Amino acid sequence: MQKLLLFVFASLLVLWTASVGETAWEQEWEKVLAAAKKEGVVAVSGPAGVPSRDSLTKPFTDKYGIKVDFFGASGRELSPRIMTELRAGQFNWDVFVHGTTTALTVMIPAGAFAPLKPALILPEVTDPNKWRGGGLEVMGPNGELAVMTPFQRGTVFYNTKLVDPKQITSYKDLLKPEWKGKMAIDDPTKPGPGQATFTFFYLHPQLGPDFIRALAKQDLVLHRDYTTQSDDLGHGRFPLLIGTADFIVERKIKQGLPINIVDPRQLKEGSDVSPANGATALYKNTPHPNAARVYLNWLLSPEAQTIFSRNMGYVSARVDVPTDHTFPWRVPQPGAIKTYDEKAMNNKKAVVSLVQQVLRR
Amino acid sequence: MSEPTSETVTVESPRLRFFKLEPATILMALLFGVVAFLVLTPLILLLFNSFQLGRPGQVPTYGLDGWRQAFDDPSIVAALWNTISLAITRQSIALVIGVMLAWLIARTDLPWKSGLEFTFWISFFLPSLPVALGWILLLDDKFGLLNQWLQKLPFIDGAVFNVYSYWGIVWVHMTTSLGVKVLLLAPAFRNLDATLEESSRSCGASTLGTLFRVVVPLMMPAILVSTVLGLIRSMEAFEIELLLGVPIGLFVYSTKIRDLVAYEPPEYAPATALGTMFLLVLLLLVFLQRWYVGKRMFRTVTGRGFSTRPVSLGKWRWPVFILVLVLAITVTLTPVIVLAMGTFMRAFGYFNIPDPWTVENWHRVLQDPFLLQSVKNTVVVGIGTAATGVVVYGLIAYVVVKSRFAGRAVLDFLSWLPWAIPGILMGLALLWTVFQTRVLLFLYGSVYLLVLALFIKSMPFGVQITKSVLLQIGPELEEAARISGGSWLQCYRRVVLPIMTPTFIVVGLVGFMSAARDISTIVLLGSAQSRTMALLALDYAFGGQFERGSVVAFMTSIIVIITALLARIFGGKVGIGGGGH
Repeated sequence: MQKLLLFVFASLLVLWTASVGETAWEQEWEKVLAAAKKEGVVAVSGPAGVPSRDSLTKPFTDKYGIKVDFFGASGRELSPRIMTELRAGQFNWDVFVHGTTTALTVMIPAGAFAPLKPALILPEVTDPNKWRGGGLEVMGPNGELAVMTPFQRGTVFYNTKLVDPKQITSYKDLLKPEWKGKMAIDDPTKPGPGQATFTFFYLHPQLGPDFIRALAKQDLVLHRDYTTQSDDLGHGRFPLLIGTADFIVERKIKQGLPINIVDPRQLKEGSDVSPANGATALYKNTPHPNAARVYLNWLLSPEAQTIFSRNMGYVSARVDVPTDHTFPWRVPQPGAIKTYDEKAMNNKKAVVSLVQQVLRR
Repeated sequence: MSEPTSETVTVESPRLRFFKLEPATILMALLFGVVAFLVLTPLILLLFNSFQLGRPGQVPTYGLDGWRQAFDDPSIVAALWNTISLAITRQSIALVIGVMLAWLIARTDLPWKSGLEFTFWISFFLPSLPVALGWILLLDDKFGLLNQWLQKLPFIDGAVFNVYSYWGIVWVHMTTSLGVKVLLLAPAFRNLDATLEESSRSCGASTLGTLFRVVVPLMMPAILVSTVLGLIRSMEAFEIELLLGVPIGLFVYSTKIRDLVAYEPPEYAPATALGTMFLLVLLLLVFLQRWYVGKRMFRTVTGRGFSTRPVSLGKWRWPVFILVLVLAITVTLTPVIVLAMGTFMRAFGYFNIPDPWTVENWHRVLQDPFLLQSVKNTVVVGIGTAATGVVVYGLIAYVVVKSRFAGRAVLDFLSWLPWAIPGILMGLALLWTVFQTRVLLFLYGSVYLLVLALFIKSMPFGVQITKSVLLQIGPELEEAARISGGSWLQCYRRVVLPIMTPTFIVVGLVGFMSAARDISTIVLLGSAQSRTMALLALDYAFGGQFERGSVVAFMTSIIVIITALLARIFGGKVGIGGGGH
């Protein structure tokens, strides 16, 4: 009898605890959502480009009826504007969606962001099992920045009529005499995929500064514009291109250009991992705090991650988001070098200095 | 005979006269104050921040490290030399050809002058990046279409043209430089009494001799302003140089500034230090211009009557017409065709891929939910900038040329100063002006701030071009009107304005076009609601959808061209001799 009573009591206790826990997040969510709808708008600063604009605005408004004031610009254009506003006591922004560089080098040191974790409510967002690597990757001293879309980058691009990709199984193959004068690179002295690629070379234990010095002797042709880089590759102006915006190349491949990306899995050294413009944060002193929380939770949900990663050509860190819209090798390999973390940021100056010296810029 | 009466004459005390200001003087002083604030504040803030070494958001620290970093760079000297070389080369060629074209269009019996002039205008209105890509498509040494066609000829071996070269950069710039020269010089050339040329020819001078010894010297204010404009713009140029120069290792000064601003975090101290070079160049050019113009007179519209008889080209009429027509088609029609073609291509420049042609780009852009708002913003900002500019630049120029206001020389110099700030830094300077002075904070985020910013940017051009034409108008016309009982406003409206209308049209159009194309200023000062077509085109280009960006750029060009056409139709009936339209 005692055992029966104990069992019933324990069962009731379990049921009561479960119902209270479930109600707690739902209650909070309902409260925040109601307040967000009253606020009526959320101000989002994000990357320039129609794919990002389309992913980050209409789907949210369609779902919640809250308007998105989206301002798209590059990180270097956004940071001085936001910093100037903050110094003048103007708080105009709610949610940040951009690359990690702007966040780690400007925003976080300036104290522009609030810690993220207290703003996360939905279990589908907070459940660590929903994220590759056992949890949502968060950076910054107070956990201000979430990395949504770390993916394996393409680093070597080729003209399919001029190059057999099986010839290239290591970056050291690029040092062969047959490639001298036949390679273009995205200028690594300026922020962008070229710089990320050369940072990867610099940090890789089997490549390093010596590899960069040797590569520079191959009469590399510098380029600055991503569109013309891909077009020149397709026209056969040069058969190989190193470090360009691979989402543009993917689009060009779909358009029918005779270009492709060397599978990093066939390269001995692999490639680096980067989220590109797939990091997010919450601004401090947001003008619409509840709408900001709703937006953030939505952005990290499977639905928004599917739209965002598909439109941008990225791979979401969520394990329940499809990756069939892009190359299978984009899913990050364990242990791959990250060119978006603090270690990479701390080495960028050394990389740029080395590249300027060896390329005589 | 009446007795003489004594009268008391009140003589005003000099001290009292000093403090008794005319309303006109007060207004001019107010204008001076506003211009000084709008122009000097961004410049001073920029100079001040060249010594600020702290990162954005951190406590400011000051020093000379930014200057050291800027000028210690060994590649700066080569970049500066490339910039000067390119600027002088292309401006020299454009000036010679531009003066000839303006003279032919404005002063001779060349057939279809109006159409030719408008064709050159169009070349100026086309967006530079798609135009450059179009020339790459034609003149690339490996896959350029023109090179491929020419190599089919038996006597041609190898590529004839290479757009990735020094002269390739000069050529691509020339296709817009000629347009701007015609745009600026033709109205000034029209304001020339034909009796001056007739007098020269009756003394035995040839047509060309008259051109170089009479017409050109009289047109020097406008020629000098367009030259200074061209040189400053050449120094600032970097888009085409990035595209065509970087692959051949040719870097220019503005590329260096852009690189520093592109770092994360941006390196504003060395960037603004490098930007001071523009101030030095501007000071030199303005000094030379004022030294030349200062002691001379350039009055070509006087009270002695005005003749608009065109100069006869004789047997050269049709050969010259064909030459000018070929040039107009080359610099205008070719880029327009390539731009339009690009909007219907699946991948710009690729004719051999499956289904190379498509209407999907137009379909997608026309369905873009942000398109209508972008068009509306572009028109509002463009018209606002044009209208504000025409009124205020006209006033500033009038005060400088026609008044005795004590500060007019300083006002003239102030109106040049926005060009001392490189375009890539102007938006930032204005952002600091808004937030650090707080005077304009109430406008932040609105289209009015964008109009104000673009008005400041275009001030040197607007004021100086208006001034160069005002110098042509002799004082006797207004004096006659005042003697007949007209107020200042009546004189301005009925005498000066009709003569100035073609110039105001040009000033307004350039203001409209600058607003329609501007990106950097709008990114830093605009809001989500104030995005224009230029930013929409950039959004497409950023997303790797260059062909759709071309659709937006094409639509922007059409809007500007239609506006220009309407302005010509409306203003073409006004002006001396119908303006030759």
